[in-house]
Amino acid sequence: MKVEVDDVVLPGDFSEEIDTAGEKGKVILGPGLRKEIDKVYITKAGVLRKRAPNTFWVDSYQKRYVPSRGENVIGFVVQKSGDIFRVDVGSSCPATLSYLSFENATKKNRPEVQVGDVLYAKMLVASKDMEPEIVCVDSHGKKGRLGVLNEGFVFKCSLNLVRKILNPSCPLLESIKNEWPFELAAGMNGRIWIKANTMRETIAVGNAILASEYLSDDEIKNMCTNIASILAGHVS
Amino acid sequence: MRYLFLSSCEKNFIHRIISEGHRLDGRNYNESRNLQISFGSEYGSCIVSLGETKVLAQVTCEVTQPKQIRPNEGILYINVEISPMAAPQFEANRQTDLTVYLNRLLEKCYKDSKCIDLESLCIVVEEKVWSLRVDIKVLNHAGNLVECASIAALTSLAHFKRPDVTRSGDSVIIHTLVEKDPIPTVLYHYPVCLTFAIFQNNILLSDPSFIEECVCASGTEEVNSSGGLLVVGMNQYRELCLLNLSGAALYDSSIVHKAIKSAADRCKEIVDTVKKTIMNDDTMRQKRVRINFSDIITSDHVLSLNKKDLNIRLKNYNADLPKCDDEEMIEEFEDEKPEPSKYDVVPSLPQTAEIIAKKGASTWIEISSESDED
Repeated sequence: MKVEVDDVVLPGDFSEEIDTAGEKGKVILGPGLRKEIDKVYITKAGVLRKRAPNTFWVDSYQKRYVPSRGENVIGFVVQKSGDIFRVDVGSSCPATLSYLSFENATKKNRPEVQVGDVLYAKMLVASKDMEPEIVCVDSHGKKGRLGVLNEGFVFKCSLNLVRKILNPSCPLLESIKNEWPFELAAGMNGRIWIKANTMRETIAVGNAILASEYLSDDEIKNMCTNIASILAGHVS
Repeated sequence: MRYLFLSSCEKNFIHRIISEGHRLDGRNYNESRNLQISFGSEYGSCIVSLGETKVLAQVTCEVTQPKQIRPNEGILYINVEISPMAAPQFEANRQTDLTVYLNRLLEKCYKDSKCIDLESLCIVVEEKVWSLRVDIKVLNHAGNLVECASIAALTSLAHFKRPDVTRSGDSVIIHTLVEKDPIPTVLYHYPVCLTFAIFQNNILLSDPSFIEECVCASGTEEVNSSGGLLVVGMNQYRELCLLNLSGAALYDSSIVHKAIKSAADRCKEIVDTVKKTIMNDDTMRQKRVRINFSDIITSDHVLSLNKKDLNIRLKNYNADLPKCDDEEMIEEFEDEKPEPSKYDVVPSLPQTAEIIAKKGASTWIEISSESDED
């Protein structure tokens, strides 16, 4: 079926807008779109989106993470074997992490990472046929925000929710940051690490994030003040 | 089945909040999740959801030869299937330990407790009996599969009606549903399996969620003593049908007593719900109302995914918030705006935002990424 941008689309649909744009210049195809011979087909159910000038993708509800290069993810160290760590990032197979890809790591100075630790890392290699590889340093050899996350709590959510809360226009983090202090690391693989001063506050952050999934911006603000008042003990 | 991995921080967190008297989803220790039962268009098919755990059960029947040792009894067969649809760690078409465990538990609960009158399933002694087959398919696994599957099996068995049979001489006629009213299965009692998670050998949680199930059996550095999962099978007359403990050994027998006590009340509650929903369904069917699984789907398609039970929830949090369409609420927001924010969300690396404290705020977060962090 022929569809337009911002329509609800199903696998097998096609859009003429993409084809005409492709004749004029280069087009960037995001997730959910695939080129078959000379036509671009939709391969996922969702909403077709466009960003000017020529980027197209399908917004769909998804929980399973498919690695893609350059994304920040949260993983659990599953196994230490020789000079690599195996890290579970929620993809179909575990990612590898070399012990040298930490800041200041040398062959003698090994990083202290235990099995069961939570890592915030960047996806370096994500190809169809190979194991994904992650690193805990940037291209300058600095760790930045990456590395082992201590204490706190990790929970899973849909990939859409992570994108939603990381969207600069989303009022969620803006609203709760005024209410109580917390730390948060959101992995694009649908895992969010949170840490606050007390257990109750940590749970409150998780509650606010999960509750915001299907709320509009105004409702999110409302919900955050509600949670803050529960936290303060005003609502019994 | 791929091994599902839990990080140590999750384990520590769960252990700590539970020892402090809370649960991750804001329930009390002895509080269960929301139970929902809906029926399909045929007799004996139902979907039972316990919170986010969903199980589909379907009973079918066929005429077979009875077993040699029990020539006048029908056959009950229970089959459990868990596909990758339930949770990503399961593989398709492969039996896992969990499948076998679940199958065995349900067989113990429904076959060995003799809750079904198998003799009434006999048509011709030593020749023809009805064989009932309960197919249980796990649609979503969010913890406490045993309880959900057992309620599903019980409901579908109680809901099922087999075709009527008449014998004239040597020939046996099986009537279609149109010709003669079908016959319901005779159940002497209604047993239900309930799961309890035992934490640190003295805390008893009813209806554990997935993460609680995973965590309870494993100890951490802080908590040496580990717990386990206790399955209690009980019927509405408070008779014990099944007891199964997996995980660590128990040091204290009083915890079993406690579990059985709270199971008795819960079982009564569940059986009453099951009976009531079946009664309702029967009256609906007699009025020729079409009942099928499409009733579950709400027409409000965006909100159909809206979960009322969050995995992480404060005790007093209520998902049904008042809408902020009052003027008062808008005023409130305007009042808040002039308040200077202590923290600021700024985009840093691609796809990341971080909260950075503005000057003069408390110093619980590292302020800049440029500073050397050794």
